Amino acid sequence: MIQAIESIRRSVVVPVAQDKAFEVFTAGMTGWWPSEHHIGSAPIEQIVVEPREGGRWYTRHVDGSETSTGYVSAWEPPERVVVTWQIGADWKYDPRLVTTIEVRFVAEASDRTRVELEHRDLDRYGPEAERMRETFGAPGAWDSTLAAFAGAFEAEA
Amino acid sequence: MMTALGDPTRQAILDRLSDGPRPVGELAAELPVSRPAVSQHLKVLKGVGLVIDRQAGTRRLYEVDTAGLAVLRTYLDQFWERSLAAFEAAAREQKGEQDDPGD
Repeated sequence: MIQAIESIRRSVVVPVAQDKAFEVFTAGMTGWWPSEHHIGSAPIEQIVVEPREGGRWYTRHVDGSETSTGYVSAWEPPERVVVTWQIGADWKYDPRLVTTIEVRFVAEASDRTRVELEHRDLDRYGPEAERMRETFGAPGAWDSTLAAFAGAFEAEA
Repeated sequence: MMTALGDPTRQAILDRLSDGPRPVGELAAELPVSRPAVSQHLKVLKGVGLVIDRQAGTRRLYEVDTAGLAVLRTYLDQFWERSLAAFEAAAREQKGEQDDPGD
């Protein structure tokens, strides 16, 4: 199969032990996840990554509603976690769309951990292109919407 | 506008094209519709910008237009850059709490 679109790879080094880095990333996700980045109708109350293979990754909103992001497909603390990201290009949960996020926690010292993230299978968005168009109305609108999203993050930072 | 993907044959065509460029004949051989019908579906997909075509020797190949995907990828890449920076800050904060004897 031809990979139409390259995986996203990013890494960051954090000044904490491997198990702490794993804990902050997973159990503490609410504390660092960009608060504007959700698909619910109300602000984020809590982001939950259920600590087991097959567990849900979901967001509880302040109005009591919940939105799903995906599932835990590998749970190997403190070294590795793999979750699915099933948010369509129309910013709705789509059970048929499965992209994968793998996060590895590499201990570089007792108080230093390199966290490597890969978001792959993005070519599965291929059949979504039409919906992107529907959501944003016209070619080009997508870019400005992305810019607005990006601006929201910048304003928050 | 009717959605280009509202039709299961078009969805099937696009799924096959996401594996790589294909000529119309190959697509028709794999699908339970005629070659002219496949050509018609490809025309619709091309019209809404989901598919592009190019001449390769004597054959015309159809493929998914990845321009839309590239924008999406850029967005997600920026999203992860920001998110990991925030994650790093959160981890540093934890570290600070641990180091602070008064905490």
